[in-house]
Amino acid sequence: MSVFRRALIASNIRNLECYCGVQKRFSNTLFDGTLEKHRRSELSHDREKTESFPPFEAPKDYKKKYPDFLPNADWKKRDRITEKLERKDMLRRRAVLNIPEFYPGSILAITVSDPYAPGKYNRFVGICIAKNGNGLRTSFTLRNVVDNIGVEILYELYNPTIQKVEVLKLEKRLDEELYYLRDCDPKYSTFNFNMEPVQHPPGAPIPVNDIVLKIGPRPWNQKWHRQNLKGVEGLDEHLREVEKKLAEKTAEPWEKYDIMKTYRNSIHEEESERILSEVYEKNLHNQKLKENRKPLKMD
Amino acid sequence: MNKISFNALKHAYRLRHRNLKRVQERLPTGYRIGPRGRIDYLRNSVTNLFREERVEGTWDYLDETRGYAELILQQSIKNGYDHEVTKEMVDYWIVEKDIIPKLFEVLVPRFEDYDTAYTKLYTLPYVYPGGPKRMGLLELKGNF
Repeated sequence: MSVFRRALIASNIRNLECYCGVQKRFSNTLFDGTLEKHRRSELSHDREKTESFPPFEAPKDYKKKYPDFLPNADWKKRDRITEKLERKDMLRRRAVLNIPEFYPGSILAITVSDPYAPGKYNRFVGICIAKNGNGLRTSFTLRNVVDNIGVEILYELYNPTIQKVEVLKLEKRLDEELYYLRDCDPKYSTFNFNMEPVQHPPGAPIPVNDIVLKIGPRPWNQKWHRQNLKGVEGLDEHLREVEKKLAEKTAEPWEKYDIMKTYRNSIHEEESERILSEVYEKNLHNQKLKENRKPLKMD
Repeated sequence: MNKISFNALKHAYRLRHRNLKRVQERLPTGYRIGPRGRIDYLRNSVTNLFREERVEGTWDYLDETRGYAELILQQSIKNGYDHEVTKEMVDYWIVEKDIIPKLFEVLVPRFEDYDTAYTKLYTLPYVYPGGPKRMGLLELKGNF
């Protein structure tokens, strides 16, 4: 070979292309896509056999039941591989801990392991004010009034220190965030720690508690008059006229009709179906494993 | 409006909206500025598209209207006019009310079996002496 190359260099031939038959550097290579297409096409004699399974169709209530499996809608913050790994971890956690469905407005009791508490666990009862985050970072806040002092605790749903999640009363409210309970009468956010659970029949629709609360005097925690809240009344008593005019000026009634904005800030149906069917498939697999598992023999 | 579940769009769309600054106008009630002016402009241009079926203009403004027109068509095919939320949406977005029957009697049966996008966006050639903007043409598919 080296002899041949030396001969080429020695010769005064400038145009090597006509000898080598190569016009471009990568002209003898193929794109990956064309190769894949050829592999699967019916025309090729050595066709690659691929087994196709029918997709698992998740039940319709899965979207409400497992909202924390859906990823962040912000495109810049997404990563398909970490989402998949997180989903795997979440299912592994759910196999050990029973996490029932609940919404902002329902009353929960949560026991957390605490090395300094008597009995080494701590139980807190309260109303769920808000649910935030997604994936392994989903969190929710519980509110209660203990000894005339408002107490709020933010729990992470997949925190390994959580021992038990009980839903004492499954309910919804008119709003999705109930932060305004901070400025309402404390009797609306006091709950007995020895409260007995109200049973909810499986498959029944979730009741909506349409209670409308009266807001207390100022100073407020947030500007409630700018938030279009349905579960609050008597806001105008505490407002000056300047503030009312400002609220009218800053209102954005067209925002709910901006459909491209809602599209960009949400996950479309095909994607959510794909993710939830994956979850459903894993759930079925886990159930089978549980049924086939033999109990350990203890002597 | 937040209760709507959208299907995936079939065309390439921007991940951020355009502000459409050129839309600002002086009205008897005051200036039409900001997101309100933008939405007002888009409402008019969407109704214009459904009426004419072929619209000329600057490319980026047409691209902005395209997404809204696609979503309206998608939802009206999926749910129909009897659906409460869709009705509210269509009544807001189509300004001239004589086009609403056209949407549900002409356009919806035309696009029912489509797997692709319902609209098409072209770039027009530069005609000397043109402006600095790229001109475009937006049309509904299957028009005559």
